[in-house]
Amino acid sequence: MMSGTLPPTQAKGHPTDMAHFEARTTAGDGRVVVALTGECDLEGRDELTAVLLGAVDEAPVVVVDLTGVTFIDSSGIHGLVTAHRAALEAGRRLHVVNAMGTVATVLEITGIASLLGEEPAATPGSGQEGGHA
Amino acid sequence: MPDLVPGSGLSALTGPDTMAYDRPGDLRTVRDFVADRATALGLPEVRADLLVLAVSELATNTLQHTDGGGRVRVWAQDGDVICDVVDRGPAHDFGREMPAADALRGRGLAIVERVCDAVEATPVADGTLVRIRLHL
Repeated sequence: MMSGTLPPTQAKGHPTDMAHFEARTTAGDGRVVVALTGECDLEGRDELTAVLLGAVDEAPVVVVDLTGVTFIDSSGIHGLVTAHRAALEAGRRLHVVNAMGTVATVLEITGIASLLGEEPAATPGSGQEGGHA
Repeated sequence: MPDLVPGSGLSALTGPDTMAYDRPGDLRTVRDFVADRATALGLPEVRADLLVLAVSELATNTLQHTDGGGRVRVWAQDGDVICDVVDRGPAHDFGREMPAADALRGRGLAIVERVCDAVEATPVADGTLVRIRLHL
């Protein structure tokens, strides 16, 4: 469950819908990078939460890469905050990186950018950062 | 104002500028519909994205807190793009603060208020009409 690409959430009654949300998890260097693609809304909320909680179990640092996210709302933020709280309880840390456009706006106005934004030491733009520790 | 008036209710929202939703899988379709309509009415893309966000929050609210679905209508009037969202829910509690960053819930309507130029909720025959505006 924790590696590889998750299948798209099945959309009952919408057989022609394309995948709208994917999570690709990559582990290494004491951290897990979860690269999200698509739209993080109510439909994918439980799946997002499960993926992030799984990542928190896997490594002391979880980096959620939002490069491929085209939409997020309070449902997606619910997943991020749920995983953040689980990480804190376990003495771990969850960051978000590479939010763009309206996704970045949502994180700003909700305070999530300040709460979960990674320090400038993070490698911007490279998606799945190789790590140089 | 178009033919919708307070008191006319959910069933009055019909027509080509209107769409219904009743399940989480409809939210993407609602967002696409609102984006297309708002852009066609002249709202710049960045502003249209904010309207889409607000409508998605309101429709999510419908699906989580009311029985049945809702309807969305988009049009322009007096320099505003206006979107009505009608569902069977009770009156909305606007005027709330954004919750703390680490709070689990309560962001949806606060986000709507932050990104729209005006928000008003009106009781209608079988529920509540929320009307949001973004200036063109």
